[in-house]
Amino acid sequence: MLDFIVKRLLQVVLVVFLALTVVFFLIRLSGDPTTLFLPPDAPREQIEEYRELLGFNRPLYVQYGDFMFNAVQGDFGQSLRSGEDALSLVLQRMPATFQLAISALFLSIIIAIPLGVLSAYKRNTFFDKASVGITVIGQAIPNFWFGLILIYIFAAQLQLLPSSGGGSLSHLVLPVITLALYSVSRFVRFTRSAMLDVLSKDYIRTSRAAGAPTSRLIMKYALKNSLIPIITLVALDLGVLLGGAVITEAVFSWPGVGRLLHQSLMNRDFPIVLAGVFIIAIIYAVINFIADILYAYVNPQIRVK
Amino acid sequence: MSDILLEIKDLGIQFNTGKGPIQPIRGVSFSLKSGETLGVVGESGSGKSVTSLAVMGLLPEKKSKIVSGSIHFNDEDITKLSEKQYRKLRGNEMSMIFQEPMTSLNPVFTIGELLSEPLKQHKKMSKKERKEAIINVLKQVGIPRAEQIINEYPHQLSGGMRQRVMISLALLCEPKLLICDEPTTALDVTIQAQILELMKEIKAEKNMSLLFITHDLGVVAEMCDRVVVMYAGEIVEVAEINELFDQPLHPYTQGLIHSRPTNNSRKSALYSIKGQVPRPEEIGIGCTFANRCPHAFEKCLKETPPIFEKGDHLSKCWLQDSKRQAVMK
Ligand SMILES: Nc1ncnc2c1ncn2[C@@H]1O[C@H](COP(=O)(O)OP(=O)(O)OP(=O)(O)O)[C@@H](O)[C@H]1O
Ligand SMILES: [Mg+2]
Repeated sequence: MLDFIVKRLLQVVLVVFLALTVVFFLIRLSGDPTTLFLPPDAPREQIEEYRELLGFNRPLYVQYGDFMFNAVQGDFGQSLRSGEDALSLVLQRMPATFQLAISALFLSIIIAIPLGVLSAYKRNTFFDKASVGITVIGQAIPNFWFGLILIYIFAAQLQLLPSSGGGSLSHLVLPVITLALYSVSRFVRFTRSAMLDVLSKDYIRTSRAAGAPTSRLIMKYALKNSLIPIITLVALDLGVLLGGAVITEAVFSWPGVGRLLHQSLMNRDFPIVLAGVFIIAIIYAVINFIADILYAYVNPQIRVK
Repeated sequence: MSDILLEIKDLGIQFNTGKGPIQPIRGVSFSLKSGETLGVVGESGSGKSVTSLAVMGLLPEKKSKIVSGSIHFNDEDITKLSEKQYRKLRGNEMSMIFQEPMTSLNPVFTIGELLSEPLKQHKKMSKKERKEAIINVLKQVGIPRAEQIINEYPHQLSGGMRQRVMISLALLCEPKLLICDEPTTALDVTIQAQILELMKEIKAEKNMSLLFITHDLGVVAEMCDRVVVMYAGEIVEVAEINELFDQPLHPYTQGLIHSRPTNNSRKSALYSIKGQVPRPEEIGIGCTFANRCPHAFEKCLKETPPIFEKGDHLSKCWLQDSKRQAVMK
């Protein structure tokens, strides 16, 4: 077990390092930010002075080394705009993003898993076909578009819910539904096929031969087996939700990391972007780590090894 | 109560496949007396498993249906039972041991959890009583460390041990009928012998009836009182065990007995029946075995033979027709 944890930790470090490296060079490709901060007709000397001040005149590899050296110590520099510490700016926005992603994930799970199970149980009936049809549509609808539709109906027309901002439960409703649409569809289809797969297994027939009623075969014997792949998918999707929140946050002006990153990218506020990538990469890795442990918990074959 | 426990009459089973319906079981009839061990032999694809699944009411629900005949268990036609009534029989009055011990136990439950299922369904027992019953039955089937095994998972056990677990699962409620679908084919020879020995002991002790499915005539000789020979979804011969080996009437049975590897098989090349079992969709008129039969004559290709009775010895072959026998003499 210790072996496993150490190995996973090394993987996490590697993943975070690679993510930072890739993003570092990618945003440099988009040009240096000084042009954006100074008026277009600023004299050359002033630009040079500014670049020197921020260290953008040094060779790229020196900048990279410098950045990594500081990053290892948790220092991502200050926001080029406000001068505040980049990492703490990102961290301040974390709770809002988590709130959104976790609520969406939770909503998806409680809707989708029962629906998927029921669909498998009633396979090829009208119910099953309808639910498969709806999920196909659910996966095809673009997130931002669905968000806008919701705003149009519930905020603009019916005036039931606020269209943007954060802070209260009613602010949460529309963004969560928007974000959950995709995962619900994915989970329903995935749960259905995982269940169907398990239900055709020899060991299910064994339990049936022992006298177990169908409801028990499904709720007890098949569901636990299906949970193995479902947990992996859910963990992956939490990552997707955290990342995918960027667009939803933008649509609903939700005060989370996604919106911060979006704005910072537009402003070429590099330290914030890098600090954000750092945090998201770490979260991603940690989630996967937890998923692996859960996975081992439901799958005894892995646990023993 | 009559002394016939299971009676199958004119059973026909249809499967719906992508290419349309097929009927892999046609007109199957046989009966099993209480306390008897009846062997069912036949090559792969002859319909042994499908027949036994039909008895257990475990045929794939949507894909297949019983299109003719009846299955009487304890004088009751079980093909007419509702799922709920059937459930009361399964694992209780009738149990089944499956072909594949490696895939037939749910990998995410402990042996103890799996074995408590039939007791939960059929017996009113406290948790403690259940545990005792489970440990007892595990000991009966020769599993050492039964107290620990109940907390282990299937993958921690060897194939032989898993099959013993399967047997104990089937035995927990002391069924009247035990169906064994090639319980030892997947095991190596020594383990196979142990398991067969065990089944014989248990059967003698509990006075169950056994429906023993196999393609191995050696196993049949060792285990069974009577034998049903199946070919391409039909029954071609039924006889008492010694009679079958001494005087097989159907050319297919003769071929099976002939192709059995014996101790001196090294001397001569192994005999085998030419050709293959026809697939259900290939079956036409005449005797299903005619195209592989060394004794086939015109009538075999044109007309399906009826069952000829010679006392208790039944065979479905035109050679047994008295007219044909007169001609031959
Ligand atoms: N699920 C199914 N769908 C379609 N056809 C099936 C199905 N199960 C069985 N069959 C048909 O029934 C026939 C008999 O199959 P069965 O499994 O009973 O053979 P068997 O005698 O048990 O063979 P084996 O010795 O290989 O176990 C097969 O040839 C196949 O065509
Ligand atoms: Mg079979």
